[in-house]
Amino acid sequence: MEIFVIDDDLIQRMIVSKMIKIIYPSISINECENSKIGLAMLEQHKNSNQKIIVLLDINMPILDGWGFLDQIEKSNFYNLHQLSIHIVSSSTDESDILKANQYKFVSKFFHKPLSREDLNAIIGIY
Amino acid sequence: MINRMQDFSENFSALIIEDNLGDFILIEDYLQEKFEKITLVHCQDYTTSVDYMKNSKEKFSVILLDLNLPDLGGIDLINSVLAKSAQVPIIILTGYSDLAMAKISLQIGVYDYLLKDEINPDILFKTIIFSLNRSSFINQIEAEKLNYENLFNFNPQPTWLLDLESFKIIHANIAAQKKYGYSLDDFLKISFTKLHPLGEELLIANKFNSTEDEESKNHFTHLLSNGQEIKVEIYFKEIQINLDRGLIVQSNDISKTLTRINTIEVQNEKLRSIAWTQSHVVRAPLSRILGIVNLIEQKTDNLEEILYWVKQLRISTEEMDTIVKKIINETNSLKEN
Repeated sequence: MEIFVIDDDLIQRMIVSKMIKIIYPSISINECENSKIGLAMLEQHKNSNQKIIVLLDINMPILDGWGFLDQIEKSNFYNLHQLSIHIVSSSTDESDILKANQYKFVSKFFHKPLSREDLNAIIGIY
Repeated sequence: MINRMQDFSENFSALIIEDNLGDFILIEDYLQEKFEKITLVHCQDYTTSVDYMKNSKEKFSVILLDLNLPDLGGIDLINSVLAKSAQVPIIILTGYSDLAMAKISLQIGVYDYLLKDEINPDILFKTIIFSLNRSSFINQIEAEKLNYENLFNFNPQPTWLLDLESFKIIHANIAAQKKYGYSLDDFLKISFTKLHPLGEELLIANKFNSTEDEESKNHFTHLLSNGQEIKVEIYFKEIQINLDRGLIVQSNDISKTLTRINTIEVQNEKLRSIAWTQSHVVRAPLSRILGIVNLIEQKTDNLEEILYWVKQLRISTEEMDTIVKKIINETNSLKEN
């Protein structure tokens, strides 16, 4: 299993990575500081048979979370059954949640920070 | 509402302008027969009668006027007496020779005429009573007309009367003159559409041509005489002006209301921005703080690492502090508007 943490905030990425390492020490984690890097790294894992979990932030420079989702939609990435995308945002704005719901391939909208329970819900089911 | 017929048999007074003494005595007899209390003043020529009317304070019930006086006669006499009679009904006494002129006189304001050869007490009485009634109706209508004129003139809302076809201003009330800075004469020279900027002239004409209830655009610009522009709502209704069809139009200055709405919208925009900040910016360091706490709860054995996270806690807390201060400033600037 591969986890992609796409977030421009270094501390947030560190927190999530540490948390996952504590709970699931064997999972390999890829940190990306924006969606563009995230998409490029995902491209390399396109033919892998491993489960891929994306933890996606919304507000980022260069290419934000929405831009990432649009690219995924365009390139039919979401057809990969092994890919699951979760939005992890500090926003509690209703409009962001509604917007996220419009992308059918988005699994769930999480508010930062991710708790142990959240991580179990995301990773545990695989 | 027209009053019931008044009782004219009491306090009846008449000015009789008649040079023929025999005719005067006859009429005097007839009147005394029909009216209980009666005051009669007899003048034998035009000059005396005019002097009397000028100097006397009493108002006659009627004036009985012979058409042939030694110093004046005919149309000139009628016009002169009409001019000085102060709305007192005039009844002409005439012979067959002046019948044509008597008929004409009805059109210029004389109430009635009587042929001397046909006068009897009943005819004289009936003619006088009819004239008095008509005079009383006319006075009431004039009073009502004055009331409506006052309603128009003293209405605090700028109000105009317009010609239905050309929209030329026929009348403008005091509020319109004050608000717009034009005299009534200035207004009477222009069409109402000239109060609008060029681009709006067709729009306002369209509005007047549409049915009143139509929910069409009702925000217009009006130019005051000093060049200032105001935003107005226009209300109008088709009415009868004398014998023509016209429009009564009112304008309502909504400049202040619009400014207020604009201010509220600017404030709403700021409030939205504050809400966005709350959601995105404030929660960023806050979620970091909560995340670090989560992390420390999971693993607390490495002192060096804990110190690192405590330092991160401080950074995020200070960041939050700055943001909260910024929000307070933004909220304060709301009050200033």
